[in-house]
Amino acid sequence: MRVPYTWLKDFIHTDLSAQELAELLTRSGIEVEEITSLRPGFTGIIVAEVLSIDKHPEADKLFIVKVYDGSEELTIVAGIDNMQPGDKVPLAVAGASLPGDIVIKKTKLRGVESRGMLCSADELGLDLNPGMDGVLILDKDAQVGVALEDTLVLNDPILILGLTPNRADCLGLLGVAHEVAALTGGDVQLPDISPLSRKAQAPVPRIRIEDSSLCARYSGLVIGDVKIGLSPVWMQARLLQAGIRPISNIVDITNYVMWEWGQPLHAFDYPLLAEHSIVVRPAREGEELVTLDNVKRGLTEEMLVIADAQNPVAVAGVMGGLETEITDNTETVLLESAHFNPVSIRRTGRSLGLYSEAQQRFEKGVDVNGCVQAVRRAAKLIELLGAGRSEGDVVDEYVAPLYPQQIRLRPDRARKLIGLEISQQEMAAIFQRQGFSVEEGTHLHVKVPTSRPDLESEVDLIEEVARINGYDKIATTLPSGVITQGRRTERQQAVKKVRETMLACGLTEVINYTFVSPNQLKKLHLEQQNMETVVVANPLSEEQSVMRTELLGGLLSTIAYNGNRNVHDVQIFEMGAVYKPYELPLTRLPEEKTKLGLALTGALSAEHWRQKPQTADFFSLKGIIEALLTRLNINQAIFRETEEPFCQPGQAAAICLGDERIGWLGRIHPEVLDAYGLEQPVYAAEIDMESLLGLVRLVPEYTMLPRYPALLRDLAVVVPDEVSAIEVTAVIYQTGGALVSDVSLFDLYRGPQIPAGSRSLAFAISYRDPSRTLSDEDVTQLHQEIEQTLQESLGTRLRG
Amino acid sequence: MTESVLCKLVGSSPLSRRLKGFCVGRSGVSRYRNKVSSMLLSLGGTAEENFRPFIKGRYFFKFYLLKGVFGLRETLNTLAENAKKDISGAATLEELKQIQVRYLGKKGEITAVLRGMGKLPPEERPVIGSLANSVRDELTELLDSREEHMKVEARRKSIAAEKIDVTLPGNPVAIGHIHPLTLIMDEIADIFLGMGFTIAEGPEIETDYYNFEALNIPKEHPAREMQDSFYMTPELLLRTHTSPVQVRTMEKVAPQVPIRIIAPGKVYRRDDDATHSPMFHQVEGLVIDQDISLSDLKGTLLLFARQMFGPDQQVRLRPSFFPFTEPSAEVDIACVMCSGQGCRVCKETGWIEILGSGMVHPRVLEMSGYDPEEYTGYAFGMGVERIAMLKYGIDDLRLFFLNDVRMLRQFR
Repeated sequence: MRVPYTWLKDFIHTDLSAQELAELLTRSGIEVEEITSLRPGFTGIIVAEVLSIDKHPEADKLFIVKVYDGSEELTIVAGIDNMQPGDKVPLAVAGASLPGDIVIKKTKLRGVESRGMLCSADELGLDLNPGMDGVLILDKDAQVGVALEDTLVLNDPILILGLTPNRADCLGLLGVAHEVAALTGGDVQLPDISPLSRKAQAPVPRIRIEDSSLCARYSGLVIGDVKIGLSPVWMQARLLQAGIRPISNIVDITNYVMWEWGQPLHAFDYPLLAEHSIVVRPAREGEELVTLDNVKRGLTEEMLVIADAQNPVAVAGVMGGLETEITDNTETVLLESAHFNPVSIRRTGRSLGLYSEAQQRFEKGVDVNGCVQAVRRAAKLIELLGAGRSEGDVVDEYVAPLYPQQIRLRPDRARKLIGLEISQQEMAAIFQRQGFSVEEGTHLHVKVPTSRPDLESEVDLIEEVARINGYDKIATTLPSGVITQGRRTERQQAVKKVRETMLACGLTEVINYTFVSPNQLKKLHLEQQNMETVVVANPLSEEQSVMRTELLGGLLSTIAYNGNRNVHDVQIFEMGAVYKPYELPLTRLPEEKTKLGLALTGALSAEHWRQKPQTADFFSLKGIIEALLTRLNINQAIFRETEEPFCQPGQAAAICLGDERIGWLGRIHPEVLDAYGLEQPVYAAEIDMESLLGLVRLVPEYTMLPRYPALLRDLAVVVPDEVSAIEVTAVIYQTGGALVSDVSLFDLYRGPQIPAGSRSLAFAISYRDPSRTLSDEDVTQLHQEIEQTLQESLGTRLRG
Repeated sequence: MTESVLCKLVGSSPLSRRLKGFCVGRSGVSRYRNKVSSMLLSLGGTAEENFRPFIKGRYFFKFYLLKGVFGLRETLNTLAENAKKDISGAATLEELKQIQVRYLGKKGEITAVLRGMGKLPPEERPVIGSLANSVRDELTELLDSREEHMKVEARRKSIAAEKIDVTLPGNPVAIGHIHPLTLIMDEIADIFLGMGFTIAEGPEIETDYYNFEALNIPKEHPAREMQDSFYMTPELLLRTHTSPVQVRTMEKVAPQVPIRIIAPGKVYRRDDDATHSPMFHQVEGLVIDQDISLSDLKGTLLLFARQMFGPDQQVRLRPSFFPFTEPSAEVDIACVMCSGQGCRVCKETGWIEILGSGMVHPRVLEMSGYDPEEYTGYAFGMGVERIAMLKYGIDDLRLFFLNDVRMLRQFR
C-alpha cells in the first residue's frame, strides 16, 4: 500500500515527518518498507500563466505565446495552441531540464526569440491528462511562479507499507489515519459523507443478491448529468502517487475513493443495464463476458458475477465488463460499492489470472459497514468536480449485516501474557484513541468496529495493547518453572558423530535440493527398477519435480558442477532424507529415510613436493566407511560383493550387518558417469542411517589390557582368485579360535612366482591366550593347523 | 764368565727405539738379567739372550741398572706423551679406539709396563706402579674427553647436515568441512540446549493439518499465500515451515508441561529468486508452561542473539502477524554489518530482521490439547540461511545449495 504523506494528512494531523511517521508505524507492526516519491525527471519548470496567443507571422504551424512567470512577461514560440489566455501551464525557461537529458536554451524560431518552452505531460515524463496532446493545462488555482513539482506535490514522500494479511484496514488511507491516531492521539477527520438529498430523476436501480454468503451487501448510487472529462491535475497527481494511472473523472474518483476508504467502487454505464437491474449471482455454465481488458472470458458456476436482468456485466470484485464500461458518451452512471466473499473472489481471480487493486482488497476483506460511506464520498467528489449529480441517495441491499462485537479484556490476563505493568486506564485509552467504545468494570468491554476484523478475541486485544503501547516497553525476563535438561538424544548424538567422522576423514559436507529431475532415475540406471517416486504436483520446473530416492544423483551433480569450475579433486558427503511412497497414489505420508551419501573422485590430497597424492579408489572409500563403523563401535559389519545398476560390475560391495543390508559402496558405472558428463572415476557409497543409528554404541566398552604377551606369526598363502580375502581371514579365526587375537593382511602379491589365477596373501597373525603366556610350541602347532585347514578348505597352499 | 744379554727390541714405539741397542747384563750380575729382560719385555719388546762379550766395565753395569729404573719412568712418560700426541691427532672415533687398544688395551704398551711390574725390585714397584696408573688414568680421561668431544662434534656435524628449509610446505593432511548451514544449526542448537531445550524432529513432507490447519491457518486463509507451497496431493505437501513440529510435539506431550524444544530442518516454499530458495532451513522454538509471557520470549531471544552475534547485541521486537501466534512479533537485531549505524544491508535502519515469533495462539494450544486459560507459551522460527549470511557475510542465498567446494572449504 502506497501512502502519500500529504494525502494522509488530509485525515489526521501530525507534526511527525514522513521518516518519523514511518518509524512509528513500523514499530507498531505496520511495516514501512520504503519511503519513496515520484521523483520527477525534470528541473527548473515553473507554473506560468498564458497571457496571449498569436500566430507566428512567418510560420503557419508556430504560435507566439506570451506568458507571465510571476515576475516578468516572456515570449515563447510554441508549436501548438491548445491553451487559452488565463490557463496555467508548465514553463521551461533556459537552464531547465527535461527527462532524457534535454536542457532548454533560448532559441530563435523564424526570427522570433523564444525564451523557453511550454511543456506537455509527455515531455515532463508525467502520466497526466491522458488522451490530451499539447501543453499540459494545470488547475486554475495553480500559483504562478511556483515550481511545478511543488504545485503537484511530486516530491511528497510516499510510505510503502508491507502489510500483514490481517491488516486489510490499512489498504485505505483512513485506516492508516486511525492507526496514526491510536499511536499519536488526535482525531481522524472524515471527509463529508452526509446523506445525499437530491431527488432522483432516473429510475431507481433494482438490486438483488442471490446468495448472501457470497455477497453480504450491495450499495448502488445513480449519478446523472455525467460529464465525462479529465479529473483535475491535483487528483491525477495523487493517483500517480498511489500508483494508479489516471483515466477520466468518474473512474479516477472511484479509484481515489478506494485509496481513501479501502472500498473498491465500480461505475457502470447505467442505461446499458437491462431493466436497471443488478443481480449478484454465480455465473451460469456457458456464460461469457468480455472484460475491460477486451478479453472474452468463459465463466463458470464458481465465479460470482454482477448481472443485469439478462447477462453478466462484471466479474464481481475482479473486473468490469467492456460493454457497460464508462465512455465519453456516458450520461448516467451506477456506482457500485459492495462486499463480496473473499474466498470466492480469490478463487475467481486465480482462475482468470487477474489480480487488480480492487480484487486484492476484496480478498483481504473490506469493511462491510463502509460501503455506503464510500459511495457517498464518491458522489460528493463528483459533484465537487462538476462531473455529475447524484440521483437520490444510495440504494442499499444489505443482506448479511455484521455488527461490531463486544470483547471482554481481563487486564490481569493482559499484564500476565505480555509481562508488562500497565494500568487498566492506559489499556482503555489505547482503544478509545482508535475510536472504539470501552466499558470499564472489573474487566474492559471493548466494542470493536467491523473495520478491524483482526480483533476477534481477547488475545487480539491483548496484542493491540502491547502493540500500541510499544513492544520496546516490554521487559526482558526468562521463563521460570522447573529446570529442564537440554541434551541431544542418542540418535542426535550419533548423527553428530557421523558428521564429525566424515570431517575427520577429510570429506566436505554438501546440501543438495531434495527435489530432482525425473530424468535422474534414468541417468542412474534406476528406471528399470520401477522405482516409485513422490512427485511434486506443482513444481517450479520439471528439474525439481520429483523427490529424490537416493543421494547419489545429487552427489554426482555436485562433482560435475565443481568439475566445470576446474575443481576435479572432490571428496564430499551429504546427510539427508530420501523419499519413497508406501503406495501410489499417495494417501499418507511417504517414507522419509535419512541417508548418508559419500563420493570421492580425483586426488585425495593436494599436490605436494614430497609425495604423490593418493587417488580415490575403492579401498580409500572403504577405509572411510570402516573408520566410520569403528568410530560408531559397530564391528559386525561385513562387505559382500554385490551388483548395483549404477556401479561398475566387479567393483561394488554391499555393506551388511548380519543379514541386514545397510548400504552399498562402489565405483560408479562409466555409463552413469557419461550421463553426468564426468570423465574421472567416481567412487560412492550410500548408507541407511536409520539402520546404522540403531546399532551405534555411544559409550565405549573398555576391555582390560592383556596381561600376557602376544606371539606374532606371519602366514603367506597362495590363494586362488575366486577365494576372497575375507574367507581366508574367516578360516584363520575359526581354526585359531580364541587364541587368535588379531589377523591383518599386510601384503598382496601377484607375480611370476605365483601361478596365474591366484595371488599371494600375507597375514600377520597375533596369538594370545588371556590367561597364560603361550609357548612357542603351542603357537607353532596352531599355526600349522591353520595352514592345514586353509589348504583343505580353500585350496590355498603355502608360499615357499 | 761374562753373561751378557742382548736385547733385540721389536716394535717401534719411541721408547723402544731409544732402548734399542742397549745391552744389558754382565757375568756376575745375572740375578738382574731376568728383571731387565722382563722390564724390556714389559716395554713391549722381546728379549733374546745372546752370549757376547760385553766391553764396558762395572760402572756401566751400575749405570745400566740406574738406567733401567730411570728408563722405565722415562718410557712411561714418553709413552704418555706419544699417546697424548696420538690422541689429539686422532681424527675419527675408530682411530681413537685403536689408540686406546695400542696403549691401554690388554696387549697395550702401558699395560705391558704394568704387567712387567712384578719383575721390578719391590721397592720400585709402588713408584713405577703409581706412575703407570696415573699415566693410564690420564690417558683414559683424555681418551674419554676426546671421544666425548668427537661425539659432540660428530652430532654437531650431522645436525648441521640435517638442516632443512622450514618454510617448505608440510605434508598434506586431508581435512573435511562442515556445511555452513549445519555449522549454524549446530550453533543454534547448542545455545538452546544450554538453556534447557531439547531437539525435536518431524517429517519434511507434511499433512495439510499439521502444516496449516492445526496452526490456525484454515483453508482459504490469506496467510497461506505468504507461504506458497509445493503439493504432492491436496492433503500432502512439503512443509512450508518447521512449525508443524510444534503441533506434533504438543500432541505427543499434552497435557504435560513444560515443553522446551527447538526443531531445525528443511522447509520449502514455491519461490526462487536472488533472495528466495525453494528449499531452505529453519529452526523452530516452542516453550509451553504456566505463566509464559511475551517478556520471557524477549529475554530468551536476547540471550540467543547475544550468544550468536556477540555480547553487546540488542534485540527489538516489532508487532507482526502470524496466524499461530498472538501477540506476534518480528525480531530485529542490531545490524551486524554496521553495528547499528545504518548501512546498505540494514537499509540504513541499523536493524536486521532475523526471526518471527509470538505467543502461541490460544486456538493452537486448544487444538493440540492444552487449556489456554491454564497454559501459555511462546514460539519462534528463524531462517538459518539468513543467520548464516549475516554471520559469515555471504551475500547470495543460492551459494548455499550450489555446493561449490571452493566456497564450502572456507568453512572450517
